[in-house]
Amino acid sequence: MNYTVFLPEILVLITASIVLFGEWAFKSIDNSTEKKVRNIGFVTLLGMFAALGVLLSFETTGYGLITSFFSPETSTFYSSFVLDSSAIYFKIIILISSILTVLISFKYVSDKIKNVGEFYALICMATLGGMFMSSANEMISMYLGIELISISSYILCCFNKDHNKSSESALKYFIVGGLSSAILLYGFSLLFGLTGFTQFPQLASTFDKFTAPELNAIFLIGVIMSIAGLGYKIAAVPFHAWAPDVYEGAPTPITAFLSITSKIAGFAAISRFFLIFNNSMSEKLVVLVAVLSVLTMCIGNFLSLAQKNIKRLFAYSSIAQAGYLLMGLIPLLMNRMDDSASILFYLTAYIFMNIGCFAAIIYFSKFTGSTDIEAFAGVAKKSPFIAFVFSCCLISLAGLPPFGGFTGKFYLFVGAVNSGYTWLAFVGAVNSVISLYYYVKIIKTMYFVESTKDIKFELPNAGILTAVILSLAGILILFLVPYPFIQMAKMSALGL
Amino acid sequence: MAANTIFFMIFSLVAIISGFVMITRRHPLSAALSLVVTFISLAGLYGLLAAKLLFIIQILVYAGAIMTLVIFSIMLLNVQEEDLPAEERIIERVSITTLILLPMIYIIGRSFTVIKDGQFPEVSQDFGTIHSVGMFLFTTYSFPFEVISILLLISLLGVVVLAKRRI
Amino acid sequence: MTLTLYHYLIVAALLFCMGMYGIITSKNAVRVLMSMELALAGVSINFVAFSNYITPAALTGQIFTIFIMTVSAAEAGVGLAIIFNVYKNFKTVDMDKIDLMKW
Repeated sequence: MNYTVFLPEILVLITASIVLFGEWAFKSIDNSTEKKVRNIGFVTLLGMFAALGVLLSFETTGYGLITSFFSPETSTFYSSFVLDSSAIYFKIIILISSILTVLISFKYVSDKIKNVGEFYALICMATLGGMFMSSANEMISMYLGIELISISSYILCCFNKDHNKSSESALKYFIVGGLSSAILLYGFSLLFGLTGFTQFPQLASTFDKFTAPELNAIFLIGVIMSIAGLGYKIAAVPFHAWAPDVYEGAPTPITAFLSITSKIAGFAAISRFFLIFNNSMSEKLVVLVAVLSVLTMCIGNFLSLAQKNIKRLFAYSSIAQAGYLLMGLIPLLMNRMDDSASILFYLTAYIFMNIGCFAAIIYFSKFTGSTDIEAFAGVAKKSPFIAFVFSCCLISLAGLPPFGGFTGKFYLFVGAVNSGYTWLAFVGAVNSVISLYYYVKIIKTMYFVESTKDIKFELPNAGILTAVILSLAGILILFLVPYPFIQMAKMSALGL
Repeated sequence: MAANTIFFMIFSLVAIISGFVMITRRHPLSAALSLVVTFISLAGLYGLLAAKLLFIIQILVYAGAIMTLVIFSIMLLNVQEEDLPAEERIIERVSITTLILLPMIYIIGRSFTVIKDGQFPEVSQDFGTIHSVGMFLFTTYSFPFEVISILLLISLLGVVVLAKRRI
Repeated sequence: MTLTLYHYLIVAALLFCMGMYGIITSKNAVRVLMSMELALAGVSINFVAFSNYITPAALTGQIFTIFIMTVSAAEAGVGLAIIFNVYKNFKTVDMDKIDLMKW
């Protein structure tokens, strides 16, 4: 068996072990927490960069970025694990988002978290879960990938142990997660019971007899329950209720992690799950996805309007973003591979926009001591650069030029129009306008409201500064030269 | 009536009744003990389905180890009888959830009638034995088997982090 | 009456729905955790019964059940640790009192 396919995963796992078991070594080098966090975080970053490098060098990517050293088989372990171009793309963006999350976490961790080694080890393990989800080609592996990322997230949410809100959010996340994994498993059990297979390709080949001439009721229930179980991971609407509480209570870097990495992993799993359906089933599913998308967009946006706490606002905003992203699944279901690249492209832009915002939130809330929007009054004068990038990211999230969010949304809407869902694109556009209101409100608070307190701001540390610069560069590059990235996404979507 | 039908009725009735007791008792300890009864009768159902290894694992691991852990934690939390959450507005809660769940049971139950012939086929002698399960687990499903080791490590790590006091 | 797949599926569906009911209505956090186990037990019966019915040569369903058991053991451990932590902070396991943030 060729083990090079697992090389990125193995590297991440090794990093987790080093960080976990080598914590005492970092402690003995230096006793100050800040330096320890920096060392451990640096090792984590190094491991993730190594994994990223290996992924980029895989031949099947076909990007020609780096001359390839490895030529992996596409699937191993009795086809439980598949490494096609879309899996590689998803893994790359999952790793990038984890790297950025680690970058923004240094200051926060050294201030508030006591178990530093375990914190970064669990982030590595959760990343690993996301990577397994994106190349799971079989129900059991997918379920285990989901559990891997979920269980580590429950623990990570609880890391501010003395904080009431943190433990409350962990409990709520745990309960909702357990409920939805039970629902997912029930759906899987019905699909398995009809066919006798757990491998997705074999499942797909037997589905014809359950959709024609009339839809088999068990099949329908199984599919709906599986989608419900997967939908919680991306916080799509009927399953979104956990998001605001968990996002508010969790430590802020973990909130960033949940809103980016966890969501990307969820979309990776859903897009792989949707591939098993044949055409007659897909037609019915498209309607379901369109309805979910509209509900998710509208509810996310309308509930954002009333929020006072910025982490809660970002929970609802990320629900709304999941709505736009669901739109990208429609071309995928209709087998229009050219347009289904839009979801990959928007996810890439989404990482940079969101990480910019969370870097700013972590930086500002350290000095204002609160995550209420009002507390952000007048911060633009104290730290003009970070406030500027924050504003750029917010405008990009609302989908306005000249940023990557505009390009991404444009392609999503074009994909929906090409698939015959013009009304959906219209609803999306209207929603973008609504979202502009609450995003601009934050910008207004930062720039035009006078601060009541006089707080001294320290300069941002290297991690936050790097993350902020990277996110600004990311959204600008994705707007100015989108073509190579779209080409890349299209190439990967062919593997879907 | 065949012997296994009688056993099925006994086991499933015990499982359902004790499951019902589990979700209705106020004290968590009585709930946990009735959950143990449910799990043991589930082991009986697995036995009827010729799942020999699962029969053992269910009793040893589930009813034994996991439930011991749960009962142990209930004792450790040591919530006094008067501090137990009062089940107020019980009728409201019950009626709302029943309204949601009853149609679900009905739909699921109805949909199963699609299965025209639900007769179980004859299975071979070594179906569900340790040998055959092991053969499967270490060939076709060796990848999930590797993944689960990471999962157990995570939960170990999490329990240590969350439950330990200050360093 | 002969024993068919249908009977097993009904028992499984009942247990699953009881578990769901427990997760939604219970006010005691420990019981919510136990209800999760009950729902997973329902799923396990489904898998074992289907395994016997549809793949008498292969044991896929039983393997799935073994994995479910392992995951639920891991989940129970983590869940209890979280409940401990909540109890330390809130001095209660009442789900209705653990609501600093609105659901």
